[in-house]
Amino acid sequence: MATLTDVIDRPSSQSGLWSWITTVDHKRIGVLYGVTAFIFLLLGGLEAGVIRLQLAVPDNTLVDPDTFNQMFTMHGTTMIFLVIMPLSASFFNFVIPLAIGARDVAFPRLNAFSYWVFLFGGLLLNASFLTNQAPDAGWFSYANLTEKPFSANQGLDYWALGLQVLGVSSLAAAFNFVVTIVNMRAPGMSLMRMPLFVWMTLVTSILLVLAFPVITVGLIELTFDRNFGTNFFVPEGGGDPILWQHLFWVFGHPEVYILILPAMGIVSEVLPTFSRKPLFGYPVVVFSGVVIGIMGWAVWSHHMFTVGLGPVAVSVFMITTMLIAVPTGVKIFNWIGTLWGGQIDLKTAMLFALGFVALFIVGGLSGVSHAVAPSDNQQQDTYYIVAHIHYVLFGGALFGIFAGVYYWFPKLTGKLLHEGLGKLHFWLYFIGMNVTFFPMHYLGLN
Amino acid sequence: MAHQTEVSHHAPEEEHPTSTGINNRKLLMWVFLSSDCLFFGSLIATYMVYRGQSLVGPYPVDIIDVPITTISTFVLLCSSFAMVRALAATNEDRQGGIIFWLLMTAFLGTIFIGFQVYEFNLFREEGLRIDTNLFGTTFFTLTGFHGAHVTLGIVWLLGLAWIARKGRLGPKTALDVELAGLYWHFVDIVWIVIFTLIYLIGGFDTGPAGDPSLVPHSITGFLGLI
Amino acid sequence: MSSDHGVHESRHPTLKQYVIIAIFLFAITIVEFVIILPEDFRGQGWTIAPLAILSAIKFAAVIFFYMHLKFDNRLLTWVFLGGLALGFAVVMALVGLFTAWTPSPRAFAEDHAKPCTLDHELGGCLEDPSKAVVAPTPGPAPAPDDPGTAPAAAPAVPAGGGLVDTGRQIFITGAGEGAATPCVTCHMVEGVPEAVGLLGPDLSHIGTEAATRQPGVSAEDYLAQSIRDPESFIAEGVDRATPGLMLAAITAGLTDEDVDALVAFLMAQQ
Repeated sequence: MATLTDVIDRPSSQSGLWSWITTVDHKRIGVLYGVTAFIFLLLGGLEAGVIRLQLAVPDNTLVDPDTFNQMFTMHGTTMIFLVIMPLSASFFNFVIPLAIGARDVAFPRLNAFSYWVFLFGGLLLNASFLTNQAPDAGWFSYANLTEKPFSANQGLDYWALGLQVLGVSSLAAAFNFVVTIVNMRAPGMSLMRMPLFVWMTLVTSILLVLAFPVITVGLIELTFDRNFGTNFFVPEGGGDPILWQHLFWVFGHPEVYILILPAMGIVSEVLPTFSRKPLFGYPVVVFSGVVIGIMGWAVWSHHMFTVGLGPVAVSVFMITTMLIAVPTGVKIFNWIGTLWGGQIDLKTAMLFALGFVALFIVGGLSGVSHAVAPSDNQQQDTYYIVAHIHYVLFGGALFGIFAGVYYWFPKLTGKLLHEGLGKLHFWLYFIGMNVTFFPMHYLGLN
Repeated sequence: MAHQTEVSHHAPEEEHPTSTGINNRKLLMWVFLSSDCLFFGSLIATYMVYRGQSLVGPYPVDIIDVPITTISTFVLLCSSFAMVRALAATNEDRQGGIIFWLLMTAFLGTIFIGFQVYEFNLFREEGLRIDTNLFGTTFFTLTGFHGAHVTLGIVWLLGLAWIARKGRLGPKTALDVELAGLYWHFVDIVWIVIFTLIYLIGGFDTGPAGDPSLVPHSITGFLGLI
Repeated sequence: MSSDHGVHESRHPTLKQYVIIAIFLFAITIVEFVIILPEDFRGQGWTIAPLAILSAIKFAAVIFFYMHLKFDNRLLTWVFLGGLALGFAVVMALVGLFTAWTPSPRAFAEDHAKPCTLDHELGGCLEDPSKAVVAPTPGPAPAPDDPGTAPAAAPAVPAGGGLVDTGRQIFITGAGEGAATPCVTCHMVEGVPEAVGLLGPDLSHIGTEAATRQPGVSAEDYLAQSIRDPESFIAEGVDRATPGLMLAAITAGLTDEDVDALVAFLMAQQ
């Protein structure tokens, strides 16, 4: 607002801490997002380490049961909302204005607001550790475990409010990127000439815009239930805990694509570069991304096959879930087509991108196996699901993001990351990831 | 970093043409409203799913007063009309008109909120609280969040009136008024939906103790007619 | 998406048009009000379609004229209608999932509620609860290859003879018209694996407790009266004894013999 800028003058330090705190520059905000998210990645990794150590030997007493619950809840919540989403946001900020030929995002101040709200939300969520009352009902926090009688301490209030704050940040950022990509393209940059990463950012942002209000409502209802005695998810008052699952997954399934589509976008940039070939079938990759974004809304109940939805609903969601594997598979064939006959240069970024494709195929296949409701009945809540989610989010999203880090780091700093260390990083990740999670497929089905 | 300063100090009228020809802030507002559709959609879904599911009274038929709410609905419709007059005055640069119609819109909005406060109080006295039953839970949450939206709109309009006081609103800054108007009208259409669902259709719902077949269900009714 | 549009002034309707639309909106609201004015029409299913259609017309008038989508860039219409359509779809899908489009969501829920017979050995519900209910009555030891029936036979059923067993069955499966909601839905009794309900009071030791509940009323009378009219006595200091929760309609379908059997069964719960 013109009138507002007259009243509040933006401090314009060029260097030092103050310049970082007051910056509205998209590249600097991208760096802030990236650095913050990496710190949270370490935290989430630490929590995962505690979980694995506790489970290393039978009857272990490393942590008590309450702490264990807090660890896996905070591990999941941190990795999804404080690591993968902001790491993607970091790339959105850094890359999008450069890729579409804009001077900055459409609303630079709103962009800075998004970052600081994100930081506050992350700190609020983790502040629960200080009072030893971290959330402990799983990253999905199913009702009615989350109701006051079953979770009497403040943990879930931290969880609900923390996610609410993070939602504000994500929404503000998503509004910003939709407007930026739709409106701020350089002359001649028509939609079908946009780089793939920009396309996937657009789809992701639209999903965020539409999906987050649903979880906002779910969290409001949870907060009201816990603090104002409402009956949303309380069976004694006539409420239905299943409604929470529906609201959570109406948001939660688009959220899955919010996590993976940016990584798919990055990989679609990296693979052509290191194959010395243009992306195979650009329009098909774009449309399959858009189709995933649309169909992602029609599959949420496949997370709930075992709650007893009735045969009709289960069949419908089973079919839509199997169908959504088609556009995903199309992308994989396009990537393979890009590699085919190319001059492949196995730099670290390329290794991570290839790792993404390989591991995502594994995760995608196990995904199709629990799209089938009868087989999902055997797999629900087992290690098999844990294996699946880590193959698509760790092997998928995080590998894609690391491909992006190695790919765009020189653009950011003018320096290449060390190739030897990078390759060591890749192989440690690749082997460690498979050794940890592949056996879980068997553990889950036994 | 010099270019940052330029970007953030851009006045709207100097803005470069955008790829679509739509002003950035206007597009932002519409994307936000689109997002808000899902917000109210989820609240409405909760209300619909729990319709007629209250275990204890008071039930809607016991306390919903349709005539009173029809009046407050009229008031909100009037405020939408005042809002379009405010925008017209801004475009035509009639300074007195801008302030008058902005304040009128805010005033009518306040009347609407007054009706809501009165209604909430009345319900509380008649034994319906947010924790009484599912009707109370979903009713107060849905209408309460709508009321919060209206309140935010009133604050926004009063802020604009404050700015207009110095003659700073006019054809060049008409977008400032237009955006507030879009938000205000959106809040109005949400009320159109809520009024129909909770009052006109759901306002006569009885509890489960009555004959369940008397509990009308919107979908069946709708499909049955088609 | 053409970039050659440049910035264009969005046109606005004239004052006259605004006034016409305002009158139009008022008129529709009055029509809506008139539809539900007669007592007989209120809450009738058929009113829903006209009310929904009239509201949709009001909705469209506001967004296309007051919010001037009609005069603005087409993209804005798509942006808004996209969110609106998705919101509408989510509402419809959730309502459909919860009610399966039947007239009464509650009736649907009750029709589809399957009482869960806990299997203490395996965890989870038994495949066929009727097996577990019938099995203990004849007496013979359950076949070892059928683990489902074992836990139900294990608890010590007092040798009260036929009446207690009949009462036990009514307690578990219900009788008469109240069969949809048997006692076990809300009450738990130790030793009865089906009785896991947590809505009402725990009846594990009701046989001894009933005698002391109401001075001057025998335990048998207290129980019989409490079954016939659950509101007769609301015991103080008992967990989950909630007035208004156990409706008389639940037990209205029971015959006198049914009540006698239930009392005999409950008296056996020492």
